[in-house]
Amino acid sequence: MRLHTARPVAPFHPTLKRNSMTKSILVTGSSSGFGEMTAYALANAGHQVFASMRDIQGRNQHKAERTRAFAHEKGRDIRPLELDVFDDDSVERAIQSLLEAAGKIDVIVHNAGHMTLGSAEAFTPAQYAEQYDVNVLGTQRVNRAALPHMRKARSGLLVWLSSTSVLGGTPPWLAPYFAAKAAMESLAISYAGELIRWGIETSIVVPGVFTHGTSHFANAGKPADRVVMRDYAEGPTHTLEVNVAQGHDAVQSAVSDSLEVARAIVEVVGLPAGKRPLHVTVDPADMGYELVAATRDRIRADVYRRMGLDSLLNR
Amino acid sequence: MRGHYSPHRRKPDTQHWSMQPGDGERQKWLFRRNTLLNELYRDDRRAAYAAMAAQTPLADEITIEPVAADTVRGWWARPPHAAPGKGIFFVHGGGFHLGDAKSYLGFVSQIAALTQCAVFSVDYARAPERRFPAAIDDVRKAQGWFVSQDINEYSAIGDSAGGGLVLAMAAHPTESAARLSSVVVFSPWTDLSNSGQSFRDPDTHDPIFTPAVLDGLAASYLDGRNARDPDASPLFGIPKGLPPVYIQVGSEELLRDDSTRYAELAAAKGTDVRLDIYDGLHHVFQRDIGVLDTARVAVERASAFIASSWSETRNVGRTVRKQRSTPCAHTKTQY
Repeated sequence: MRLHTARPVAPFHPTLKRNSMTKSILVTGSSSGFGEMTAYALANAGHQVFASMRDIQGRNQHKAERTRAFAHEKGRDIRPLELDVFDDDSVERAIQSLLEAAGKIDVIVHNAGHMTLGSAEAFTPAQYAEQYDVNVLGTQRVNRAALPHMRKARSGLLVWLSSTSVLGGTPPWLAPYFAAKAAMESLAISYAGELIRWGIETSIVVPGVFTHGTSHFANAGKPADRVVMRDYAEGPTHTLEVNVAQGHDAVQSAVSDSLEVARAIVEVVGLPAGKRPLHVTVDPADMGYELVAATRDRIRADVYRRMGLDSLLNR
Repeated sequence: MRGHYSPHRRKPDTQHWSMQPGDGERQKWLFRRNTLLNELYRDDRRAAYAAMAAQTPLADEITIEPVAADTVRGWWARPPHAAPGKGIFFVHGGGFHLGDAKSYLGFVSQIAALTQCAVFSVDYARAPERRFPAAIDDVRKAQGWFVSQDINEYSAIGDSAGGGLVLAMAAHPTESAARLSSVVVFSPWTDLSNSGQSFRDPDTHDPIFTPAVLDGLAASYLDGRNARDPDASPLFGIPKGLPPVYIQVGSEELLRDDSTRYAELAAAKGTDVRLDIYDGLHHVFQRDIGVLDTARVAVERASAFIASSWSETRNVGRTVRKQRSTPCAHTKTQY
């Protein structure tokens, strides 16, 4: 498989000024949704963006072409990058490519993720493991490949795409995904404490419900166990699937703009070092994440202080 | 200010909220109950007001303790594991004539329980016995005493006239090292000249106040002094450098524009201001936390605001609240 660096790279537009504010940024899962919007928004903000996705030669070829065309026409520094978060080797190669092209890696946007819809029981353990793999282990593969370089530079920023479901109100029917996101956020918080002394900041961006702004829901994984699914569809739970879909519509409004998530990420990236908030909630549907997070943050600070770890807190 | 556009002008973070389901009926019940209490105590407005305030239940496990020092009187409400070094300074409302710290203990205990922080509720001189500036003088003396009680940082909360007193207090930084981390006000009375648009607008349907009542209270409290003195009307003396301010107000209040104007002006001076407007809710509905779900939610939000404003959590969380007027794109994304 040819690496993207073997293809001609779109020429760098001469009027785009580079300065110390320009960051070298990896956005995983850039073929659609928040990842795609974020990659383009960061490029529009003047950063050097590596819009990673898998299967650039195949399924996502048109996405990769579109990215290159955009870079060329608008004079933005954005390029597609082959990166499959499921695959250790793919991740290693991608980070290597990135470093060859940029010389440094300032920001990682851990966005690649996949959703599920269906009864919790009807997903097999393998499906649960796959959810954990893409939403959690994917970030770990990228972190292990990239962090040694960021630690050497004593600076950097990890942006993690979480979900209001982690702390806020949730409906049923998305169990494997919610469980994986909760795991991812827990991991992000642990990392936050461990990376801060290396000069690497953490910002967890927490979107609420945006069923129509991305293809996350449309492409959601379904349970493998059709027999159990039929039980749920025919038993006392037969209205749940429709309820949840209608419920999601009910909490959103016409003003739920998924582009706000990308804008929030651009804003966080643009903040001076040391000033990035630990979490940013983008949730017009008000699912309650930030209410619970206020208590979580206070207690985290309290526990760190009692353990003598307050130097690890955001200042 | 009208007519002047500055691209860097800051605006308050404004959010509109609907009533929680079922609260419409509960609100009607509340108004009937209050009418009854007002009839029962028709000869004693202070007793009537105290009776209404006392309807807010005492939260479990909160210890109350009176304070009767030389220049300070009031009540502490303490949760069992109160955060050390932190406190909340509470100033009750009542139009400068009514209300007292003791009858407000139920409400104050709920705040103590939700914030897990010790709350001091101050008693201050009321009109007509003591007129302006007695109330604000007492509040400032109490603040001076309060910050000497092992307090490293604190939040200030006030409702109605108490909200105005809190904002006037916050306008002047104290000598002490204790940090005022946040201010929360419920339907604050920020303008005793009652010049807000919502005040005179016949389309404002305030179930509690008439303009005559508020004009009368203001006149009696001021006793001829200037209504726009910033110590009486903090709307006219908003400094730079205030801590984050969170204002909650009902949509149909005569005093709604005391909140909206204060929010605009404070934000324009660089203060982080959050303004929540509750559709169909009445003046200081938060006190009805024992009855209205919306009140509970509002006070929870206030607690979360305070929790996220302490120095160790100040830079930790942020919420994007922008509401866009154009509908979202369903299938296409735009750059």
